[in-house]
Amino acid sequence: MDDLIQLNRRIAKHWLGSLDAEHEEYLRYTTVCLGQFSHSAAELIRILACAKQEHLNALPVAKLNRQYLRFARLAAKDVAAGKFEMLIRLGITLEQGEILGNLTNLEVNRLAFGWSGPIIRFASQAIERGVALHLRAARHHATAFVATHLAT
Amino acid sequence: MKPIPENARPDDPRWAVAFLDLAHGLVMAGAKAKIIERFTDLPHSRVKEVYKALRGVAPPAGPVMQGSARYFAVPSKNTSEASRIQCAIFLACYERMGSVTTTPVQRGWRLLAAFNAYLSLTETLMQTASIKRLDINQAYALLTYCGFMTRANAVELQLKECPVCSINYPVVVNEQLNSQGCPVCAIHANCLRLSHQAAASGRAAATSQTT
Repeated sequence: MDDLIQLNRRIAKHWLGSLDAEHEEYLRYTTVCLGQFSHSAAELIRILACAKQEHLNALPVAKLNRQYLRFARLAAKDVAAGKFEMLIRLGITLEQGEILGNLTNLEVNRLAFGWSGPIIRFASQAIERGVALHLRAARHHATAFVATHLAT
Repeated sequence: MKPIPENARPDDPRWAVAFLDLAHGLVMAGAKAKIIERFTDLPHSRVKEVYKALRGVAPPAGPVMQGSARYFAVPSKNTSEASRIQCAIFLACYERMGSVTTTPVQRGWRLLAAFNAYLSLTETLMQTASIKRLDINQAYALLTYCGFMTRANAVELQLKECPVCSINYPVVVNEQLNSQGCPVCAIHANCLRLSHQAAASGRAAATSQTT
């Protein structure tokens, strides 16, 4: 869970800039990844198959991508061991999980630096709505983030 | 535990082990015997045996369906706003578990996987806010009222999206929506009301001390 909180903190910081105490408290209770990975397994395979290594991203974006991909790789290994809730935490399919779980360090770096921009999308609206709630309600909202309609 | 496709049969040797794993998982989750029999085709005597072997007790007694759809959606003496949020979380897990593969998955497998995911997602909140979580038999009943477990067209519960906080929560189809507002927003409003009350009584106490 700590890894997920760290990842969500980086994702939120990337899009929202600085995080205040309400954001931090909200993130402590958020049970799913705030970044949505919306790329198909075929798209990932196609990009990995490109022989040429490109550096399209600035370092902060590449670091964000790398942290996400490393977390997803570990989560996918949990899925392979029967922990299917990791698919829900990441919002990905089994097929995507199989590709992400088998990424090598080199491939993680290639995707992190070579992807055009962040590899994930961020649902800022749902988070801002949750953070604006009273602390007690915000905890419930963060836990129920999986049940939100995600609009970026 | 591998996802069991919808068209797999328990008597198919390729899936027999997966169905036995499913039965074990349902037993460990505390599912009633009827539910296990329905999803695994195991006879009642075998389910009882598995229960005794894995948990040392008989399967829980009582009917599979208890209460009504209102229990899961309408705030009342027995249904808190927090437990309505629990229903929303479980339904979201169940929906998402249905889209993890391109081929439809068996409903018993989906129920168990979604229930385990739900338990995992609500762990932190349960420890800090001591909320009451759904058990697997309540989760099954909730799905039935939502029409997931039957092919009937008439469903008693459906999801509604809150325009304020974006949470999707269950509401009773045939009842006024005014009495079925968003549970998260209800907790928020209640907390604000209590903090305003506390502030007002604090101000009153300070005024009486000065006079």
